[in-house]
Amino acid sequence: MNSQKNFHKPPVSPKVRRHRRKRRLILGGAAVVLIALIVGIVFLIRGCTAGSPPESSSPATTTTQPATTTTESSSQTTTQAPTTPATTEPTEPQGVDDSYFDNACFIGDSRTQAFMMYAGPANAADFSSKGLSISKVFSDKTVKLDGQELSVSDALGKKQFGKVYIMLGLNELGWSYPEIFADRCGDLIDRIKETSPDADIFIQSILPVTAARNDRGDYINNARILQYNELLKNLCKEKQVAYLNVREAVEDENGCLPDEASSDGVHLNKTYCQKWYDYLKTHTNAADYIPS
Amino acid sequence: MKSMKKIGCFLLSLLTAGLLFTGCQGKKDVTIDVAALADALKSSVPFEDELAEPNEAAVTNIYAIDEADIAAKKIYVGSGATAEEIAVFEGKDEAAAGRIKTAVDQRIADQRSAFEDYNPEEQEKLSDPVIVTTGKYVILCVSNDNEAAKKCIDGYTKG
Repeated sequence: MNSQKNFHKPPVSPKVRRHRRKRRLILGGAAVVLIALIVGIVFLIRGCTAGSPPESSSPATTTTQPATTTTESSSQTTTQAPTTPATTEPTEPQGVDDSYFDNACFIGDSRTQAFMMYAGPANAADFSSKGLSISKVFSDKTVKLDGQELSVSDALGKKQFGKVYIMLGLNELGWSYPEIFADRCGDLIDRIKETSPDADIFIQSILPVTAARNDRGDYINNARILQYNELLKNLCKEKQVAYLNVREAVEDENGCLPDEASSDGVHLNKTYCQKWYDYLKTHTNAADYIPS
Repeated sequence: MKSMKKIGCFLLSLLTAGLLFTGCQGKKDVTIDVAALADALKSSVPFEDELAEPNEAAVTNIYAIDEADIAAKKIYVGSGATAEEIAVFEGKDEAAAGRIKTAVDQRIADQRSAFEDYNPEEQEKLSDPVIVTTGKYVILCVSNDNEAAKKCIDGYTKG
């Protein structure tokens, strides 16, 4: 049996051939027009969606309980503010350059943190943190060092420094017993002497607050600051380390921080952090600033 | 008739493909002047704190970002009195921008932790900061006026 199909088509007349050709041309033309239309729509839509709002997101809100503060109870002192010490002579009138501080370590609270951020030496170790107090120096892990979170005391044990600058006390102004603050600062000095026996240690005076902040009438006031600074100076005499009166770099004739120096009366802006740094760069010989 | 159907199916397929392609390419890449946007935010958004640019070396302490990921940046940080901050980054590409966004999120988390006891009033700003990602760009603004920040950013991100 012959299973092959017969594909032979009957011959097509010229008229039919012309008709088919004409039809193909019309359809082809229509296809081209349609394609052009589609491409045009695509570009139009892309042009319109340029104005669409970008993706916006906010991080998930964390729910954290406020930690209980552990500072001593606040009480405003009514003691007469001692007079501001005389201006300290610079040992390097021209000022050292940034590299001098490559082997330095800065320990302090939010003021030191801003100092390091705005003006401080790029290569110095930054052991500052918001709210740091002398009681947290030995207990709270506030320093990130080589991938670890350490207390300041532990972090000091990881590296030897040539100079250590300390400014603490603002967060301790409310303590009922300022002498405890001084004693604990003494412990910190001992720790630095243990971990970096050759380091020059500079205890920086606590910087003043503005007159407006002072006049709020709470424990953060310039009289209280001066009282703490006297304790620190006596401590430096006892421990034979430098007491660096950096407040004279920023205070006005009344012993206050100028209004222009701070938006909240306490934290220094960039300009005044730079004044602070200029002071450090010109007061470098620790032996000159050990109280006698 | 058969050829008409074939042509019709082909054109329908083309139309569908064209529309799908349009959907995938919906967003036009924007180009942002990073410094100009940061400055515009600083001048147009009301801040309580005095913001200033940090030292270059300090930026790595603030944001854990590989320098190789950054094409351009401008940052303004507060004095410590508040958590207010502006940061505008251009990543080398969108993947880099993704990593920058992660670092920005971490910065906010770190600030929340830092201000928790120090100045709890700042938690309100930190609970809903303005963080915008578009293409290669990541924009952060921490302030008391998110609407002003968003309005300013929209002026630079809409083509």
